[in-house]
Amino acid sequence: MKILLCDKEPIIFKLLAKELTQHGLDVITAENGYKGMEMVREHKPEIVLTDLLLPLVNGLEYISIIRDESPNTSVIVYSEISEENMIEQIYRLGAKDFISKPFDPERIIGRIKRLDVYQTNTIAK
Amino acid sequence: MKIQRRRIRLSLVLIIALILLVITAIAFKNWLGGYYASENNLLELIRGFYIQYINSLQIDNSEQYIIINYSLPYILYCLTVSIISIVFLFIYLVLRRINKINKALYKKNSVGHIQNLIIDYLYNENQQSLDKLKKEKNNNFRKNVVKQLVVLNDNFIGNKSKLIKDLFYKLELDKLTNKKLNSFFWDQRVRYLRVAATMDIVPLLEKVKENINSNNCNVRDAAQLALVKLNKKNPFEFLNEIKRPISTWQQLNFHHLIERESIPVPKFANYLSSNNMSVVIFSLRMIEAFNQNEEQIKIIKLLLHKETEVRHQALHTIKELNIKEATPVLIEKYSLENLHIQLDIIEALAMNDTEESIVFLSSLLPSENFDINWAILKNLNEKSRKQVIETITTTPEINLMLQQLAFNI
Repeated sequence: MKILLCDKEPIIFKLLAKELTQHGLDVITAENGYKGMEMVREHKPEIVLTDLLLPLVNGLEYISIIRDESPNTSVIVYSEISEENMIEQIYRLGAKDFISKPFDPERIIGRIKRLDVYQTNTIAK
Repeated sequence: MKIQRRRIRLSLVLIIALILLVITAIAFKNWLGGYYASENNLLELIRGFYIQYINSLQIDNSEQYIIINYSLPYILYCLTVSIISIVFLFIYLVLRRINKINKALYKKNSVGHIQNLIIDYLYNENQQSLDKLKKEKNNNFRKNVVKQLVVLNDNFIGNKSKLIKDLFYKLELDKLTNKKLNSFFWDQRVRYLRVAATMDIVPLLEKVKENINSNNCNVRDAAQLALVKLNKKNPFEFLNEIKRPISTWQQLNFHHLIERESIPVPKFANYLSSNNMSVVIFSLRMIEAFNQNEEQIKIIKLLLHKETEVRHQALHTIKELNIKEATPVLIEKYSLENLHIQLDIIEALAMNDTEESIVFLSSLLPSENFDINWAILKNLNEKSRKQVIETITTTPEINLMLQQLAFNI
């Protein structure tokens, strides 16, 4: 199963990539929203794990673009912004889960396993 | 203390430079005297031009003589010093630029390598990666390691966070942080104050404290935020020691930090007697935010504070915490305050909704001032409003307001 990681800090997505590849996920990465959009169009990943604050294309815009261009992709957003209004908006735009920063990278796989798309894929295999 | 010592050193250097400039100017004049005698062609040419220029000014001969013989050497000296300075400045700027480009190139090449080594250590606890990180003594390399570890620690918690801190100490980056806190450059101090806070370097507490009253607002803000994290026993102890005002932005930062890092919330009423007005205002805001209404008398006393801003904030806190005991003081103070505070008092009294406050508010109606009438009618609840209306003589303006309020309901 393919997962796209989007974060402006390469060390963050490198660490998350290391964590997720250990659980057998196929990880691709992007360091800004624009590149992230291109990766979604090109690779159609099943899951996108993204920071809300991204360079070039902001996180909210990015979520709606993914929803329009790749409706089967599940989006998980993480951010240090924890205002209720913002979280509500993230879910309204189509994100499946929200994780507030800082978080334990070892627990991220648990959140991914909760997604329908993960369960469907695992059963199919 | 260190910053003061640095300033004294800088002043001494400037004085010595000035003395040297005067000495070299005199030496230059004497040396030039010898050159005039040797009939140097270039000097003669310059002197010729200068004499020609002075002659064109049409001043008398004695003055011309003084100007030509006394000012020319100094003008030449200034010219020489300026040219040398420009050349040195140019060389300095070029070298600086080259250094910047080299640094950027180094960063581009080394950061990826650093990230891989760090992640390798975090996931495999690979001794080789640790040795490679330890072995490199290059200043830029170590700075980049610090930066990467801080980014990781800011974003992650749990086991990985422990390993990140562990790696930070194993690489002796706490010593680098300690050294950088003495840096002459304020931006370096700010950066490493943040590092001290993020990496929880408690032994640097005293050194961080030295910066809380710094002249540079960025340094003191970073030092104060670092103290909140480092002082485990009493995170806001420094509020008793700060001499400068805390900005609203910094107050928001403190609030955010308490919530984000789960910092133990102190009794903010302890800081209400501070001489620093911004500390009192901040404490009132925090009392309000964390609903600390145990020390109501201290808050009520602030209604008599000499500063309007403090009284205004105290009123706001009283209103939000619904401190009914403040009613007599509010009524007493009403006539002494400006309209802005009067409107706040009306709002607080209306929200208190005690018999005493309703009687007082009725006595204010009808007022000639539109805002007062509107503040009373708008803030009272429906039941109290009816009670007030029954006791007063209504005016067309008040009737209109009542209609408006009825419409809004």
